[in-house]
Amino acid sequence: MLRPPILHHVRRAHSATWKKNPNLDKIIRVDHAGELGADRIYAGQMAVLGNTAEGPLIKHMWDQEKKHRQKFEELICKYRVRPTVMTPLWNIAGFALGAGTALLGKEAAMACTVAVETVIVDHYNDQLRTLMEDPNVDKEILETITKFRDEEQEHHDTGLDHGAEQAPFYKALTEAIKTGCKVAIAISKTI
Amino acid sequence: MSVLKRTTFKLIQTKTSHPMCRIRRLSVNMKAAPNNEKDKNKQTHFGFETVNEEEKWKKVHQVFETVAEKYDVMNDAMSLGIHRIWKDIFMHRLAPTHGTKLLDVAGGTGDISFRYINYLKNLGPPPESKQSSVTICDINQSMLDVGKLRAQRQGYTKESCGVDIEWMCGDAENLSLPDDSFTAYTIAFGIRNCTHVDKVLEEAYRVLAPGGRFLCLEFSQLPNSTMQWLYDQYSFQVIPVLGHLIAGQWKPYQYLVESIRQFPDQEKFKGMIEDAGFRQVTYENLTFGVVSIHSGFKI
Amino acid sequence: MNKLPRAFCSLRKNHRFILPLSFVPLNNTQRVIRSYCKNNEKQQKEMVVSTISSDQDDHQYEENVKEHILAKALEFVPKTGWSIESLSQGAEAAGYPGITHGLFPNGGGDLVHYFNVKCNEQLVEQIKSWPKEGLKESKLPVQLIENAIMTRLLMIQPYKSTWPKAMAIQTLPNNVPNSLATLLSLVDDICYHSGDRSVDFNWYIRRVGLAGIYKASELFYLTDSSQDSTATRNFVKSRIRDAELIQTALNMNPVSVAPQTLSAAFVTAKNMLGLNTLK
Repeated sequence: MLRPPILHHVRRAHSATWKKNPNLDKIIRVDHAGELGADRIYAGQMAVLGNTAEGPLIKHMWDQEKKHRQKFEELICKYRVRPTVMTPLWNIAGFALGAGTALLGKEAAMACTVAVETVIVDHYNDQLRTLMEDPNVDKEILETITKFRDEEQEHHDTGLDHGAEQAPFYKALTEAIKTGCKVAIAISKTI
Repeated sequence: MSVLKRTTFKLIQTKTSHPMCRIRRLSVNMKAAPNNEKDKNKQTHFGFETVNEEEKWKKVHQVFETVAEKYDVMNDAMSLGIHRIWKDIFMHRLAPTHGTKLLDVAGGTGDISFRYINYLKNLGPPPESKQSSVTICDINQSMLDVGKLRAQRQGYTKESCGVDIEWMCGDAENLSLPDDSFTAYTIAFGIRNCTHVDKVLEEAYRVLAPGGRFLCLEFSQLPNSTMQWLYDQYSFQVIPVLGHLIAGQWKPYQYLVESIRQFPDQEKFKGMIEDAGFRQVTYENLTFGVVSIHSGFKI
Repeated sequence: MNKLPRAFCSLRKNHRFILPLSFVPLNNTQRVIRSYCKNNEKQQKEMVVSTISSDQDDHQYEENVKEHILAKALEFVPKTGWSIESLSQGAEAAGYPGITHGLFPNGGGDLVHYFNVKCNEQLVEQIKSWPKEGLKESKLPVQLIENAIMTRLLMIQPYKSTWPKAMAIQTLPNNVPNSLATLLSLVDDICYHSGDRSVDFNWYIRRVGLAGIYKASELFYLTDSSQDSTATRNFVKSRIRDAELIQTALNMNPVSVAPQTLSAAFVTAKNMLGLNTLK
């Protein structure tokens, strides 16, 4: 009790942007990590399924994810946020997940999309709820996250429409991927 | 006498100097709504008993008169000597410098004051302009007598230490000391025996100079309920028995452990100190929360 | 309403000093603004002890008092070091009794932390005013980094004799979080203002690298007795050159440098086995 908490000093030692919303750092970091992962997952899926009938569909979703990632990278530079330390790891893991599920067939790839997008939509909804509690919330961030949440919801629905549920071991696969994503989100929030 | 009459009487009355150990008047609690019957029988706790406020100080007075002789021996027995370490840590937290004027309240037997004098001695010779002093205040003359005897035996005198030592008998809720006259106020294991803790805190605020520090060492609650249970067992089963065996008294030690349970916990006491006007109020638990050091500054 | 009786009590007590009391009910916790005016017999300074309305203001007021004491304490550091003595002398210079050093439970550590934070703030102000032409992502802005590091090191100059003690204090376990935080803040500011906008692992590599250069230079600076610290400046230049070399090495295509790498490994092995060609 006699010593003030550690983060208090870190925040004080940094620029004045922190005083607006101390959670902004975590929000932008974890969202950037999420979009980076999603980008690499679609890259993996394209690498395997690029020349099949689903190619253009996956490419369309991949382009949208690339835009999301760019936007968060802009926000990182604007708010001087520390990016997550796991970027190389998420890079490799995302690509491996995308390519791995694509190798199991196009339904598995769609199932992977569905699982990842479910977790991301829930995550964005939680963030929106937290942000809206604050009366001086930054409008830009709120709009950005809302827009991205809607697009991720679209991806989720697209995945379902294209036969995700026909994937082998659909339940087990989606649960495993969802758990993995949740763990990754929890890790990127802090480091 | 109605409350209004009593209040006006007190307003007109001029302050006289306090002789040693004057009997404290019934203090009118002006926070309560004027209600004659309620006021006459204002109750407070004395351990787990409920007593009238005017009785409490008498009962506490009696307790300390009976334990004064064996006070130090019992402290050692009950806390297995750990109270010495608590008081050492307490003085290290205060970290007095030369020129500090300490008021040690409820410090009858002098434990804190002697540690203060030793600390200053270890700092080295004081510069010319800085004279340190300690005033030991206790409501109970017997405790002060024991303290004076110990000071004599252990050689704590003004000439040998270079620190002014003064012994005064007085009530912590109504100190007969001028405003802004001390730079440090300590009260170790005394505040829970006071009838009105908030008055003690206000008096502390009054006598401290701007920048002065309030430091309180007191028994407190353990955050962990299992450990609290163990502590309760030790307190209620072992301590009164020790009291009976070593000091020949049971009831004062029963009062001791009960009064510890009645005292507010760390956070609540911190709030009370802040209400009295102190800033930068913090607390530190020792021995898992058995005792707690609360600190505040008048800045 | 519980503060009103206090007003009556104080009036009744025939104080020598003037005690204007004003009663301001605010929020749920009612606070009284108290001003104590000392008359000339006692002290020349006027000490104001006031309580203000909200928690934010309270906190700010306490921070201001602490900063005031710390600023004054820095003046005593060359004589009494980064210690509680400096803090209590600073408190006395600020008008408070020496015991007020208790506001800083980490003692010398709090003073060092304050000094670091202040120096970092000054550095950022200075960097913002430097001209920044031609800052490219791929090329290290060598001159700017060198100037930034030298400026920051020279701020230690008035306390150079006691700085080794300060560095030791920074490594004590209860001071480590603070010192790491200020170090991170320092390198982040330098990297950001020299144009680094990386958003991946490079962010960490650059900052850790810069922290390494800064700390090494700091240690070197302590024993530097050259004119105008030119030896330190040269040291910093060499360290930055090393960093540039590492960056070029990492950017090289592995295939094209295979012969060089292999020969380097071969010479190292020969040296280790004692078959070196250098006599």
